[in-house]
Amino acid sequence: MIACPGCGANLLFDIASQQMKCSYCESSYDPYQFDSMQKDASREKVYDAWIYSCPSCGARLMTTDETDAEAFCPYCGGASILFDRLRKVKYPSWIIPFQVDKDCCRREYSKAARRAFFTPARYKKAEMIDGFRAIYMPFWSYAVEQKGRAKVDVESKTSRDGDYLITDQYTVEGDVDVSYDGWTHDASKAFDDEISECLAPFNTEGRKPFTPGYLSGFYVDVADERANKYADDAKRYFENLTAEKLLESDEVNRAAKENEAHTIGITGVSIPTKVTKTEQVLYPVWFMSYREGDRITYATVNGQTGKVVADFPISPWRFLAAALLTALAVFAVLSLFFTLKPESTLLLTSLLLIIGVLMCRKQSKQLSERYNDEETARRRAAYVNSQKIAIVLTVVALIVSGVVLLTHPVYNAVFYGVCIAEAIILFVLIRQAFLLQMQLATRKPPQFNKKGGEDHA
Amino acid sequence: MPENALFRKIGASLLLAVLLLSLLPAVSFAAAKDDPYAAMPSFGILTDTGLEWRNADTGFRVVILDEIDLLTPLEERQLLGDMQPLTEYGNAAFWSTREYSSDEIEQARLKRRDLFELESGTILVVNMEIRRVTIQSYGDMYDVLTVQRANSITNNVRNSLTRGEYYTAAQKAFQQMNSLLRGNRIAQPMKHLSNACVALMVGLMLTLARVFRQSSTFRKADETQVIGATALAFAAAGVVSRGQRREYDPPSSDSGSSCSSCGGSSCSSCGGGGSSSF
Repeated sequence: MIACPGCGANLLFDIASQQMKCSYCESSYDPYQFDSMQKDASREKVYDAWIYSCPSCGARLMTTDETDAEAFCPYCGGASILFDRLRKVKYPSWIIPFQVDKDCCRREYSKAARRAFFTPARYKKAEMIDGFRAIYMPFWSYAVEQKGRAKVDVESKTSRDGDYLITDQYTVEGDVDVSYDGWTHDASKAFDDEISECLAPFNTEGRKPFTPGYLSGFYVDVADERANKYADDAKRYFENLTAEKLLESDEVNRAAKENEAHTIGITGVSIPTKVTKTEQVLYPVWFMSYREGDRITYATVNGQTGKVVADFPISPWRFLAAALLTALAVFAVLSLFFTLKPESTLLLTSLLLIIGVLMCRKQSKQLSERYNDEETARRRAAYVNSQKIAIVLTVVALIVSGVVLLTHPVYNAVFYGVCIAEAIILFVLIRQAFLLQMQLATRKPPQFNKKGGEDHA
Repeated sequence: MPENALFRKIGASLLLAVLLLSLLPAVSFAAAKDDPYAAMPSFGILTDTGLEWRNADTGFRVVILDEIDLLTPLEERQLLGDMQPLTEYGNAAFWSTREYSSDEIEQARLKRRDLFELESGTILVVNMEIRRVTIQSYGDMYDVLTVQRANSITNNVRNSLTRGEYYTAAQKAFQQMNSLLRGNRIAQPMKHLSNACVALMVGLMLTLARVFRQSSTFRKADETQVIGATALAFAAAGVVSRGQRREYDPPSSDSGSSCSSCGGSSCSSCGGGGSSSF
């Protein structure tokens, strides 16, 4: 706790003025004014932090003021977080102080929630939006140096020679001498990697040297990932970045023209890359969780830019209402402007069924790209299996449609019977896709101190 | 699972919706009043080609060309009577044939022009060779008996034709044409059923696409804008060939594609029509 020099009350960091402000006498102070560590460069800089842990999920949070502890866990919605210990915590190198205050955070979230048409109204209510907590998230920031001969293996477009496909292969080379910094990865096990990647970018121009004053009135998540854990990811990122720049460079383009090489794909990168510095930085995040039964949803707002990344659950009733309204509109348009013959109807429903199958397959593929955790893989596998039956039924329906169209059976009922069967198969497909989407829009409550736990942490 | 139970309910609701939508036209059919269709005396004259009658007031004719004897002589006379009210608006013809045609609407158009030239008129063609029933109209009659409505009428009568009830089908078709020409409505159960089916499928798919879009709000940002870097230049840059990769991949034999221009079913200069197989 930092006491007000004027009245002794607690000073809190005020986002609007970017100063320490006394809530009692309203005096303002520079956050660095109270940092005795800044003056003594010889000692390792540490500050006192009260560590709280959630007995339910194992998440850990810190505050610089022991009275700051809230009664519930922001990660799992658990009823309490318990004081664990007082600890000396090493200063992070930098901090980006909160620029977005709670009102602005609420506004940005409400705006995003309004666009989420299928999300139940309770997720948009004011009392829920009040649940946002300001948390500084720890990140590891990496700087790398690349010096030496960069080699990038590339392929040109494929041509045909009789029964063979020929692909020209090249190596693009160049001497490089460059330093990068600013690639970050969140350092908290509790903070979902995907959310942190989507919340980015944080503008590093707004970063400030750390002082504990910035933490007054806020939570800090504990950095429990090792500093070198993401070093290889950082190297890979910068290698690819340099490789792309090398391919775009004028020298390489000139040389490629001379060799008539039309490079289209990178197959290998070899660039001497060394991580020169790893620093801990704190980034501001507004965080909210909402637990319903055995599922939980997270909503986050970038505390610097106001960017919203949130789970928006989907209501089946809203889905049904939207589907029926859309169907009514389409029905009205069709009734006004078209009279479909049975053959055309059958062709159209068959086409729609094919498009529906392709849509569901694309969704399944996108999910596998987005989530690579075990739980989602298991769910997706179950979904793909259940889809197989629907796809077999689709193929049967399409074959029957083909037979019906070729043989022109005598009764309308045959045409419309197949059309209705196709509509039912499409409904089954869409039901499966929707259920999967509905489950993935929420998460299992996290278990940071046990194996298993949340779906896509 | 509660979601499953919910979806069973949703499935049942959708089926109910399809059923209700398909019942709508039946209700409208019951509500739509046919004009009192008093059978008019059928004093037709037998010509070389068929049975014919002319409305002395309007000058428009009714022609029955039953080339393949789908109707009995008595049915022909009854049908002539059934068709006579149409002469208030234009000419009307019934033609049964076995002439093959790849474009039944063009075939109907040519026959109508043979019979009535460029006068307002309509023709109902039952082609047993290709098993299609076609209605083609021109002039004032086409203003009412549009392609859509012709399709509805042919849809409505194809079951009767399939059962071999040719007179019933033709009578029903001309009654519905007359009803439309008098400004009334006709039942279009098949149209509504088709539209309901297609609309439900489109509605479900568009909504699912919107759900996918809402769920993909997690977009990873481009980090390059916040990466700090010293000036990047490449010395002694160049491109070196590493040879070629050869993959055995025999070309598959493509089936030939064909493209044919299709004849329009209607245009402002030649009228239009609709047809159905039966």
